[in-house]
Amino acid sequence: MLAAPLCALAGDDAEYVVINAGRVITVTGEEFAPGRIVIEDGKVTLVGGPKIEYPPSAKVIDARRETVLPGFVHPRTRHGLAGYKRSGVHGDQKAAAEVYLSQIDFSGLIEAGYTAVGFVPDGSGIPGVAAAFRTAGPEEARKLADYAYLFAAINWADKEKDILRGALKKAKEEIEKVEKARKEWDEKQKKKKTETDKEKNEKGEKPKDDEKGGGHASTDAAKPPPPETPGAAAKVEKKEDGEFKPPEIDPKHQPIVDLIQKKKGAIMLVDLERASDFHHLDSVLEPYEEIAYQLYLKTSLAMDYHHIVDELGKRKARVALRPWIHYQPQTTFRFNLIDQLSDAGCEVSVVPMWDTREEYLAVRTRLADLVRAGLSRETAIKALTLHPARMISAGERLGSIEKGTEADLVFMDGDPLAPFSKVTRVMILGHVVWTAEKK
Amino acid sequence: MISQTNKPRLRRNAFACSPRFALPYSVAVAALFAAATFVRPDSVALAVAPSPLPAAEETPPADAKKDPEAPAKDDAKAEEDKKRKKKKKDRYLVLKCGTLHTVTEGDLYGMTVLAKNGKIARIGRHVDWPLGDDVEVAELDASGFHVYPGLVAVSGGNLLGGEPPDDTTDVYGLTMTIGLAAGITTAVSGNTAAKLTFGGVEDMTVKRDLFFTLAYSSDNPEGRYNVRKELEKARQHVRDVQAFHEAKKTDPKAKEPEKPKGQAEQYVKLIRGEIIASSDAGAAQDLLDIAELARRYGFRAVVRGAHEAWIVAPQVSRAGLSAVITPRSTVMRDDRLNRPNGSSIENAAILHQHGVPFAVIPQISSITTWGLAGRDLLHLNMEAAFAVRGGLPEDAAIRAITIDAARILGIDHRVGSIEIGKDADFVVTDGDLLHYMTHSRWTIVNGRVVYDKDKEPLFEHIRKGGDRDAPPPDDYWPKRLGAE
Repeated sequence: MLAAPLCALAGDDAEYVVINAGRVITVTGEEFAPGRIVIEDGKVTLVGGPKIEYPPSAKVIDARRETVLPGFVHPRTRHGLAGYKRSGVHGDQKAAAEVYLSQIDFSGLIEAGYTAVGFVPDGSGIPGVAAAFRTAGPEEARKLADYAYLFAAINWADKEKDILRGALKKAKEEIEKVEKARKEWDEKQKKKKTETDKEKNEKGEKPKDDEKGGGHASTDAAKPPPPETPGAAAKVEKKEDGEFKPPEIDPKHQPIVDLIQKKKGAIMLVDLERASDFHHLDSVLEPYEEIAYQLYLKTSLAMDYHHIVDELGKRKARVALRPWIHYQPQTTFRFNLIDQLSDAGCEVSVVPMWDTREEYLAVRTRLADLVRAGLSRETAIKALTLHPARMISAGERLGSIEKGTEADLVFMDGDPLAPFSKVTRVMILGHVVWTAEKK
Repeated sequence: MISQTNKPRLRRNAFACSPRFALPYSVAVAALFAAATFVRPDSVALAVAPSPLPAAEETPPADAKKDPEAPAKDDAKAEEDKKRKKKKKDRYLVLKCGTLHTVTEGDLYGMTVLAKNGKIARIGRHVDWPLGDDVEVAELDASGFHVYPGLVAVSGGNLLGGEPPDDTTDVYGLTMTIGLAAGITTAVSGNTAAKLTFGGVEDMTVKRDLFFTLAYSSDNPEGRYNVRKELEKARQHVRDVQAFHEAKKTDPKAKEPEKPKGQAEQYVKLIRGEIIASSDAGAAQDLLDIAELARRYGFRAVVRGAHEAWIVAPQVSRAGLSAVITPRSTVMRDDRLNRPNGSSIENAAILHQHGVPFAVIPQISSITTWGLAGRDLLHLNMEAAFAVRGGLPEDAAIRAITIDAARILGIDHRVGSIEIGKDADFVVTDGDLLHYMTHSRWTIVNGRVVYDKDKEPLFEHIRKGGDRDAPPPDDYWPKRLGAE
């Protein structure tokens, strides 16, 4: 692997950083031991063995005794956020609005190797839209995404199924409302056009003149410009009198409308409390075609998810859960649910048991337990990096070390799943932002 | 009496396999499986699946020629194909029975029951079913076992979640599993009758708004007065409406009486026989009062409790009441009263003699492990067996937890007996349903096996394979909990 073009580019002002690592875990590709990572302006441009070339201007980081892997991602947290609970449907509320970075202590997350988090809004029902943030780095680059996913914190045990059903129904009504208004408007335009045509014919004018008339505007206006990002309201500005102005969609239901219309990137994270809730969710979503969703499997009420492993696997569901060896309910039979889920075909992410410093640090140990109980090492690492990154809609940017991903990396003094290995350095966008104190 | 209009028309001897009766049924079944191939399994062992043949392809109708002018039609067709792919496969259950207790049509031997999509489609000695990729067939060899219709619990306790059950039930819950182990397939949750559909919420609700709760207790004279007033008003309203319809024939200006709202509407429905009243009444006098009220206003009522019904059975019968009783309930006799009183083990038998339809429910109408052991819904069949101890015929006791219970709930057109067209809910037991040793071997709801004694750790270790002479289980409780 040679990088001849890099030398040619070395003359420009790009900032190059090179990591000479004892071992590089790329997550998506092969492992390199030793390995080298070339970073240009905060983005990985090259990763490979120790002989790949790099521009002479590059800043070289010596990590020959360290293992480098992508930063960990915590996809669903309220870390450091004040309680602001709400119930009902609040699609217009954004977790990003609650986050005041200067007031949140990220040190526990950084120390454990977490470089990104998904902040969820608080409450029950559909409390709002989750946001993705970096745990460190330059102020302007901290926010990864305003829209990570729509959060549905349905308390199934409290019989909140109706909230989700009602929200979807309302969103469907909103869509129908817009469609109906458009139809009416089209008809009106048609009528208007025939009237003007008639008038002109009566006057004896040639119909050629009305090519510039308002009549043709209808065909252009009939296609609404789809909003680029989910969550942004479909705004069609009223430019002329002849242009169609759709009735406003209730902003509380806008993200749900996006889900039903399958906007790019629109996805919902649903909390499940027990296996049964998956069937309830299924029955709610049945009338709608393939709404994108990912699941968080709570384990506080029941741990009977073994019933639905096959079904989740068949759908290649994206699930998050605590790193635990589960008990079958009412028994002492233990089973490795995470292993079963990933074997079945699910994309599993792990979420710390609780949002505390100790648990952030313990996640790797708990994962190591699961590996000892049969989970594959690759899946365990993916469950910390790539999969949760995908959950917070940042799978293209974070979670792996390959060309084009952002250089949010973690340096460790040993294997990530070894019990005594620690995070030594944390890099955000090619800059080391945290270094462990040497004892 | 509870009307039987809902009962499906069933030809007697429908199951008999004489050619005279078999012909129309085989025609009907052939129509049912029109698109699929048939095998005759009677020559091979039932448990062995006959070699699957490809299902016959559907031939498109002659007039469905491709129209080159309509590309839109192709889109529609593609859409239709997509829908068809999404459509669920036809689901069959082949249940080879040892003794088939149909409850309404007597006991049959060596029968095979075929259920299609959760409904009983065919019962006979020789039954055909389709094979192929577009059908889903489950076969269950229960020869040597007894097959009963799934039991009906007229009060469901914690078997289901709440109201509405298909939104609130934990379909993998322990209580539901225990309920199925007890052979219960239909239970009441709140005011809704629903199935114990373990592992899914599909086809759960059977009937909503079962009863109108009529509080007519002697403890509350004012309440009684109000009930009578409301009933009087409702009856007057019904008469006014009738009078209006009469008057309209001659006088077009006749004024229609105002429609009742809220509670009053419920009472009008009651007078019209559109809903059934349900009333808690145990003591003889309370039962007489309800009977009197029901006769005077002509409504249908179910009395719950009714532990002194044996004293006033003739009156209860004449008023057309039905009862929900607990044969093992004990209310001590009060010697200070100069009349018969208290509960009797003969209650069920006496009600049966007087033609009062009744359902049986245990003292605790939920699954519990506290207090009265063996008196919760896990022992619904034992409760019925106690009525037999008091003189009730065995078949009447089984009816009291199947078809009669279903009739009281007004769902006997779907559950409660094994008849063609009814829901495929069965409990397959290793012995007589009313025997204390009997366990459910399999429980089937909507044509799906939802409980298997060998797979659930509840009773798996007790008398494996239904062997009654087997030695006591070779384990002890900590071992079952996983400790070696």
